[in-house]
Formats: sequence, structure tokens, C-alpha cells
Amino acid sequence: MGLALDGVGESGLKFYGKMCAALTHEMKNALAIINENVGLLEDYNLMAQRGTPLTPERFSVLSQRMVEQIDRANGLLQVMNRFSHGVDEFVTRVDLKELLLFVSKLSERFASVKGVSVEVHSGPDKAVVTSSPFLLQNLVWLCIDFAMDNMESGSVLKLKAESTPEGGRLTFSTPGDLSAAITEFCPEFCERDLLNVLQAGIETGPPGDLVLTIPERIDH
Amino acid sequence: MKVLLVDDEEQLISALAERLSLRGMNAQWASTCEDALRMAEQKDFDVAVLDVKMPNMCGIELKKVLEEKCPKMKFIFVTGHGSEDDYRKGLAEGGEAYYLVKPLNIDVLIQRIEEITET
Repeated sequence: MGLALDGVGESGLKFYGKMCAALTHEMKNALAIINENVGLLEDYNLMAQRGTPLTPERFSVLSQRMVEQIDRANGLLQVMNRFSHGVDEFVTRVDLKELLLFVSKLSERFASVKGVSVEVHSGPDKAVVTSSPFLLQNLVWLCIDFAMDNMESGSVLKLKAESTPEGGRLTFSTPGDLSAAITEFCPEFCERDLLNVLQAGIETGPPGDLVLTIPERIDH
Repeated sequence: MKVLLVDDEEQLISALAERLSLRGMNAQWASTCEDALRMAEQKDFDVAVLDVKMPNMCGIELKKVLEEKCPKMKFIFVTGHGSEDDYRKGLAEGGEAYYLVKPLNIDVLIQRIEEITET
């Protein structure tokens, strides 16, 4: 018996795996820093036992570093926990600005490796829709990834959530023009299926932005 | 032994450099590839310990640039990922013995440094 995944399932699994790998990579970095600083404390302890005077200031720096890294790892775990709970309810109310903030948080490591910074903005009215939070996160990530692939290191990706009479609009702005590349965004059935399930539209805005239109409520 | 450590995690690399220095190595660190290249121009390092994934330039790309500038320099890759993809890249570029996964064991790192500088 073969295993058959539809486009949405395949895209979702890839997204979930990629984000978990990135978050655990960051956690490993935090643990590695704690590991080296604990090792350094042990080194100082051995030196002190052999008669080298201790410097309390140095101990303070090392313990402060460890507190920072524990906070960092805790923050990453909170993100991972929230991400995991994103599949608890398939359809629920989704605040689109919160969605952008969360996916930009998930994307931090990828943005950092590409040398890109991400800013989140919103329109005057809160944009809230009834949709699938996990699938929207997946779609927003694909747009962020696509935009970052078409950006120079050192540039800023601006994300904006706005309320519209039909639901919401998400805009992805880069210093360049994404319109020429947008035909590359949907080469695979996964992205098309994802857009279809979310009943979302994709287009380019006037300055070459990538724009997603999200309906106020999806039928499911 | 002159060792250049390169990782964008400053708190990691500075502590590691200090630990290697306490063990008699001349260890210096850089948190960007640009700084690493500058330092390599000013000093002949025996070994470079490189993070596989860094902003702007990955460790494997940095290795290629450093190899051209410093043909005698030896390399060890370090990663927090431990992914199949990184592992294959590491094997293809650096050889199995020169690929370590974070968190590091200082004794294993020193052993690797000594092994590759003996070859």
C-alpha cells in the first residue's frame, strides 16, 4: 500500500519539519554556549584549586551569559510550543498581524543567515479572519522565503497586515520588484493547493510587492 | 598552535577560545566571515574551526576562500544542526574526522586539532 500525500499535506509537513529543525538548531546553540561557559567555570575552579586567584567579576559575566542563554532557550521552546498548538483547531479566528509577527519569529534564523531583517506593520484596523492558522502560517512562510530569495543581504523585508471588506490583505515588500519573479512562486502543486484550500489570492502590488488576499471566512 | 575560531555566536566562540588558550593554544575568534578573513591576512593560523551556517557566508564557502589565502591551513567544521544535509556537505568538503556537532567536547576538539596538524 502506497502513501499518498496531497499538496497541502506535503507542504505542511515540509514547513513543520523545517521550522522544528531551525528552532532546535537555535536551542542547540544556546545549550552549546551554556556548555562552554560551564566548562570555563570548571576551568577557573581547577585553576583556583591550584592557587590562581579567582576574579569574581569574571564569574559574574559567565553566570549572566548562562542566564541569557536559558532565557533564549526558554523563548525558543515557547515558540515551538505555540507552533505545535497551531494545529489544535483546524479553523479558528486568526489575527493577521499576530500571524505575521509569529511567522517572522519562526523565520528569524533563516533571515539572519540571509542577512535580511524583517519588519511587521499593520493598517489602522485590526485584521481578523476565520481560517486555518497552521495553513496560513505555512503560506506566509512560503511568501517570506520567496521574498528573501529575491533580496540582497542587508535589506529589509516589510510585512503588512490590513483589514479589507472581504477579509484581510498581507503585503510583502522588498526594496526590489517581485513581480518579475512571481511566476516562480507557484511552480509546484503544493503552493497552488494551499492557496485553493485557504481560498486565498496572490498578486503583485503596484511597487512590485507580493500581496495575499485572505477571505474573511473559509468554507470547510 | 595558532587556532582561528569562527562562529556567529560570540558567547560560544569567545568562551571556547578562552578554554583553548587556558590549555596552551593560541586561540583567537571572529564572529563574522569578514573579520575571519581579515585576521587570516594578518596572522598564519594552523587550524580554523568553522561553524557550517553563518550569516552572509557559510563555513564551507569561507573554507574555500581561506584555503586560497592560506594553503597550509587545516579545517574543522562545527554545526548545531546535525542534519543529514549538513553532514553530507561536511563529509564532502572536510572529511569525517573534521566535522563536529555542538555542544562540543573540548577534549575531542583538541584531539581533532592535534590530529589534523600532525597530518
